[in-house]
Order: sequence, then C-alpha cells, then structure tokens
Amino acid sequence: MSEAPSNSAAPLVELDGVTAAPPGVPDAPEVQGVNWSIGAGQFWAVGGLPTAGESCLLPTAAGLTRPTMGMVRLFGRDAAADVDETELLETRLRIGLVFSHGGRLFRDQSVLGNITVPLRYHLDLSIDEAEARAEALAELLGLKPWLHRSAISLPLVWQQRTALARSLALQPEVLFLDRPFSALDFSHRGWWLEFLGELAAGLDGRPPVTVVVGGDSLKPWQGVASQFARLNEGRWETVADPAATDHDVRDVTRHFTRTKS
Amino acid sequence: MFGRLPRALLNRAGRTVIRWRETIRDLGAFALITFGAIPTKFGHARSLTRPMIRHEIHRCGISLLPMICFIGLALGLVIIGQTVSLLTKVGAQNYGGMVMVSVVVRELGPLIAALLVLARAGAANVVELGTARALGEVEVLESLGIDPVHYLVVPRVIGMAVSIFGLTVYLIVVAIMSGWLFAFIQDVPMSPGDYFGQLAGALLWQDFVLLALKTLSFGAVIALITSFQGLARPLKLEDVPAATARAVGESVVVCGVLDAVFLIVYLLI
Repeated sequence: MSEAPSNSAAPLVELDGVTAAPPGVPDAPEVQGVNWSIGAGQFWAVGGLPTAGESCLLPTAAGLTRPTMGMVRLFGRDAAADVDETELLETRLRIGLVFSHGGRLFRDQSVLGNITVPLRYHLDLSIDEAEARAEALAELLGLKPWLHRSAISLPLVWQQRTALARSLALQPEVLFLDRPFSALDFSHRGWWLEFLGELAAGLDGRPPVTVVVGGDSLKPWQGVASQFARLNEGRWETVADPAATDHDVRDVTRHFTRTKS
Repeated sequence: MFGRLPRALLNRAGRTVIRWRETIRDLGAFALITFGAIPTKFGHARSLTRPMIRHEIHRCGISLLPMICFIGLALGLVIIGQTVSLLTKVGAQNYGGMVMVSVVVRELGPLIAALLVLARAGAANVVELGTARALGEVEVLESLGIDPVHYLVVPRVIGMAVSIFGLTVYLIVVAIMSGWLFAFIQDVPMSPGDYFGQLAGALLWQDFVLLALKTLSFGAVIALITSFQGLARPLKLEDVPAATARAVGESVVVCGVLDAVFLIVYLLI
C-alpha cells in the first residue's frame, strides 16, 4: 500500500491540465485545460452558463469520471493510477458528490432508506443502528417529517436535501455539489447557504468540510464561499470579484441561441 | 439490382454476427466481474445484501408459486392425459411414471420455470435497472463508493438462481401428483405404489445433480443477461423497451442452448 501524503497544506484535490467530456462522448470535451487546486477548508463557488461544463467538471474533479486529458490528484494520489480496490474505496469515501435536479435519489427507497444505504453498505450497520444515525442527520437537515415517504414522491427541493443528507452520511472531507439551486425556490436558498457555510466551518462539532458548489451565478455565494471561479466557453477562469462576473443578458441570449442552433 | 441484393443480405448477416460476437464478449466480461464479486465481496455489507437476496427470492420465487402450481397441475394432466391414451394402445400404460421423469424432471420442468421467471421477473429486471441507469442512479452508487455489480447484480443472480431451482422442484412435485390424479380419474389400472415406484425407478442420482445445476444456471444466465442489458451500457429512458426485448430474446436463446448442452450430458450418462 502506498504511503498517504502527510503534508496537511497539500491540496486535497488537484487538477492539472484537465480536459473533461460527458460520459460516452470523449470527442466532445466540455471543459479544457483546467488547472485547479482545492485546499483543505476552502469553499469554492464555480459559475458558468448552463451547459458551460460544471456538470462535467465536478464529477471529474471528484474522481468519478476520468479526464480525457490531464491528471486529477485526489489527496496527493493520481486518480487514474492503478491502485488496489481498498485504497480506491478509501479515497472515494473521503469525497461526497451531490448531483443536481433532485440529486438522483434511489427511486425504490424512502428518504430514510436513501440515507441508510451508504451506512449499511460501508459500515455494515444493522437497520436499527443505521436508521438511528440517519434520523440524527435528517433532523439536522430538516428532513424528519419526510423520513418514511417515498423519496421520489417528494418535491424536488426536499429530494435535493435528501441527496445532501445521503452524501453526508459517511462524513466526507470534500463535498462537491452540482448546481444545488437548480431545483430550489428562493425560500430554500437561504437554508442552503447557511447550512453549507456552517458545514464548511465545522457543523455541530464535526470537522470542517471542504465545499465546492457549481451554479449559474456566483452572486448568491458571496459572503459564503471563499474562492470563486467560472467556466467561460469551456475555459477555467479564477475570479477575484464575483459581483463583476454575473452574466450579461446579451451573453445569455447569445449562449442560448447558439445552443439551439 | 439483383446483384446488390445478396451483398446487402451478406452485409446484414455480417453485422448481425459481429453484434452477436460483441454481445457475447461483453456479456462474458460482465459475467466474470459478477462471479468475481461473489467470492471477493462475500460477507461484505451483509445487513444490506441479505435482505436484498431475500427480496429477490420473494419476487422471483415465492410470488410465482401459485402460477407454477397451476402450470404444474396443467402439465401433469396434459402429459398423462396424452401419454396414457397413447401407451394404452400399445399396452404400455404402466410406463406413465417413466414418461413423467423424462419429460417433466429432465426437460420441461426447468425450462418452464425459467421461462416463467424470465417473463415475470427478468423483463422487470431490465426495466428497473435500465431506468436506474438512465436516471443516473448507477453513478450515484459509484459516487458513494458502492460497487453497482455487488449491490444490484449479485443479489439478483443469487435470488433468481435459487428461485428457479425452488420453483422447478414445486412444478415437478405438483405435475407428478396431478399426473397420478389424472391417471386415477381415467381408470388406468395403476396403484399409487406402482406409479411412484416407476418414478423412483426411473430417477437416477445424476438427475438430482443435473436438475440442480440446470436450474441454477438458468437462473444465473437470466439474471446476468437482464442485468447486463439494463446496466452495462449507457441507456436513455427511450432505450429501455428495446433493451428489455433484447434481453428476453437473448435469455431464451441462451437457455435453449444450455438446455441442449444438458440434454447431451443426459444422453452421455
């Protein structure tokens, strides 16, 4: 087993010249040449117009999909290197990923079932033990009234929150969220901003979580995120002043007319 | 024009052969991964996988018991009804029990149970897994560090194999009982002792071994093919019906081939 990197200042996730394409279409990269370093305790907000490529970049940065070019290092290790399965699993469990539009919940499970699946699979907990842990987590996320409801029968806003709870069940060190606001109305945004801010600071006595969120606009994340970047025409740009980067309405119109044609 | 037709047919046949070859190769790889996951992950996440296996056995086996009993009843009546009238003509009506062993135990029992499970649970399997794949649930499993093959396929393989074995046993028992009942109704001069004596005499120990092997392999093959068509390739929701039809067709063909292999084994022993 290779030695784990001991330098705590080393980036947790590092992308070096990464080009990423959606699964199954390696010839159509959505983002190109991304150099990105995510350090412990950082809170990144990555903006970009819809289909700008965050939904493609975040799973690649999380080590879920392989880049078509470049290298992704997770906790100092090359994500594409041949390592044994146990090592790979250890790395995977340190990273959480919440998908957009309701978080792709397991349709045949209740809210409680969705949260307990990773607990029962990895920790081999009994149903009672797993449910006790899941209920505590659900309480924290305001999901208690929905626990026994079928997950996909819930409104998308609560599905998205269930997906967040499921990702947090194994207490990841780094959490990626792909467009968390995509299914939310304004009344829920405040909760998410506050919760993710607390999560990054160390929620409920837990260790701080490094957070990366993707979204259309960087504006809502001002005051919560500490680092900003955006994807422009598939290119990565680090942003110093998020207020100045909001999309011009002409950019949006141009983007959609081009996408349509 | 006429010269082009054979070429077009040849091209089509060639494409079909290549597609079949690729399917066999991919399915073989999928089967190896699945059978590799059974011993390497044996005992892992028992609290989650055991209830899933039980659920599969309930879905593919226990819930199909009334249907299999009905088919067994009909099978016994039909086979004894047909054979008794034929055997009576040649004065060999006392061989009814032997016919039951050859037809029901060795051939029709396992095949009918497999086809019933394929129709009722196998097709549903493709739809479930295909929809999960199309909606991105498989990527979620991977993001949670859960092996999709271990979580989704292994319980189905074990559950279906055990279910087809169990259903076949029930089918055979019911068919044998209903066969004697029909013989009794037809006034065939055969006591229960004669009938069951014939059955016992016709059964070899190899029949029990091969019956177990055959039914377990039918279950594993159906679970593998339906899971493969649902999971192993990127799917969109609109592709799921076609994948289901493909899985059913391939399962029938592979079960037929397996049946032929076991028939050869029967003939050799």
